[in-house]
Amino acid sequence: MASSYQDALSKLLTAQTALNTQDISALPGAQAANLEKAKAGLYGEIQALQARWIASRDDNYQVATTAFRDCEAELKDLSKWVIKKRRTDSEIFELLYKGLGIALSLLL
Amino acid sequence: MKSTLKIAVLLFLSFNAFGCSFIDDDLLNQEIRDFSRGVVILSGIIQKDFSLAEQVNTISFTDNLRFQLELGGDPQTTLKPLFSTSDIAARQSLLAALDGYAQTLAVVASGELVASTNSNILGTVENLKSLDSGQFNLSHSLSLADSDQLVSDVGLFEGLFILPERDASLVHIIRKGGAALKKTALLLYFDIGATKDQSGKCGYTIPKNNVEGDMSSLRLCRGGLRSIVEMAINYDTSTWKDQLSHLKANSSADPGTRGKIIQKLVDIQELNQSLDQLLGGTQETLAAMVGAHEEIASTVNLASHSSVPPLSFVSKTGLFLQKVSALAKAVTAATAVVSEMSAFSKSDNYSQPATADSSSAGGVNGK
Repeated sequence: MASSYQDALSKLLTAQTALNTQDISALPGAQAANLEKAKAGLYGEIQALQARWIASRDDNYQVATTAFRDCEAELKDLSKWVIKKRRTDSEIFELLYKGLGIALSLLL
Repeated sequence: MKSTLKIAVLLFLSFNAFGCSFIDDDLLNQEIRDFSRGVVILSGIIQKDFSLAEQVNTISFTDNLRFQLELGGDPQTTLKPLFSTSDIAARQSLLAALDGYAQTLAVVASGELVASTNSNILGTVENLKSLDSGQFNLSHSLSLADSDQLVSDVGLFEGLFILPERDASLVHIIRKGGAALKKTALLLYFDIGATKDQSGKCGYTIPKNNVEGDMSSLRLCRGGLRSIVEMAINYDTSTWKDQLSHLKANSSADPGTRGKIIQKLVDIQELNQSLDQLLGGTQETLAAMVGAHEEIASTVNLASHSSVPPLSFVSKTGLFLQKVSALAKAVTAATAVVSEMSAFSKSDNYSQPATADSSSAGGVNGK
C-alpha cells in the first residue's frame, strides 16, 4: 500500500500503541514471543524514521529496517492466531487485531 | 520644566565623564572568557546527550532481546544504533565549530593572537564545508529549504576563523559571530526537537517558524532527539511491563524476580523524566547562550563607540553560566543512572524462568 513517510510514522505509532496495550499473559509462549518480536520490529522502524533524513514527509514510504521486514512472519502468525481467538474472546484481542492489521498493511 | 531638563543634561554629562574612567576592560574580558567556558561545557553536554540516547537504545534492545530469548523466541540479534557514523560526525563538526568560536573569542579578548594555521581550526573549517542538512534531524519541524539555509548559515563561522582582521577586532568577530552562533543554536535546538507537537498545524504541515526572531517563540512538531529518547524509554518500559505480566502467569517464579522487575519499571520511568528535563534544559541553555552573546555584543559595541558604562553589564552571561552549571550536574546524574542500568541490563542479575509453554513451543510462528 502506497503511503507517505508521515502517514507511515503515524500508522507505526498507532500499531505500536495497540500492541503495547495487549496483556501478554493472555498469550501462549509462542505468541508472546511473536508479539515481542513484532514490537521490536515496530520500535526499530519508528526510530529509523525518526532519526533518518526524510527529504519530504510526503515521499512514498519504503520499509527502512530489516528488523521490521523480518518480523512479517511473526506478525502474520500472531494475526492468524488472534483471528481464531477473536471468535471467543473478541474484546481481549480487539486492539491487538487492529494493531497487527496496521503493521502488516505497511509491509505488504 | 527647563530646570529639570538642565539637571538631566548635567547628570548625563557628569555620568559620561565619570564613565570614561569607569569602564573596566578586564571585567568585560573576564565575562567573555566566562562565556567561552560556558559554551565549551555546553558543547560537551550536547555530545553527552546524544551518547546517552544511544546508551538508552542499547539498554532497551538488550532488555527486549533477553526477554524474547526467555520466551523461546527467534529475535533479531543485531543492535542498530540510532545515529549513523556520519550523522554523529556532523554534530561533532558543528560543536567543534562552536567550541572554536568560543575559544577564539576568549583568546582575542585576552589580547593574544589566534594562530590561523592552527590545525584544529583548519580541520573545523573543512568539516563545516561538508555539512548537509540531511545529517541532522530537522524534517519534523523545518522544510527542506529552511533546513538547507540553516546549515548553510552555520558556515558563517568559517569567515571568522580565517579572516585576517579577526586578530585586530573583537567587535568585528562578535558582531559577525552572532549570526553564526544563533544559527548553530537553532540547528541544535531543532535537532533536539520535542516529545509533543507544539503547534496545531503539525498534523498536516510544518509550522512556520521565524528563525530570525526570539527562540522562545519557536513551535516544534514531535520529533528529534527528545522524541527518540522518549521512544526508546517507552519501549523498555513496555518490555518490563510485559515481563511483569508474564510473571503473573508463572507461579514457579523466584519471589525476588518480581521485586527486581518492579524496580526496573520504576527506574526507567524516572529516567524518562530526568532525560527529558536534561534535553529541554539543553534547549533552554542554547537560547540563554544566544541571549548572553547578544548582550556581550551590545556591550562590546557600546564600549567601542562610547565611554558610557553599560547599565546592565552582561548579566545574561551569569544566567547562561547558571544554566550550564545546572545542566552539567543533571548530565552527570543521568550518566550515572544510565551506566548503572546498562551494567544491570548486560549482567546476569536478572533471570526469569521460562514457562513450560514457551520452552515447549519449539520457536515461534509455528516453526
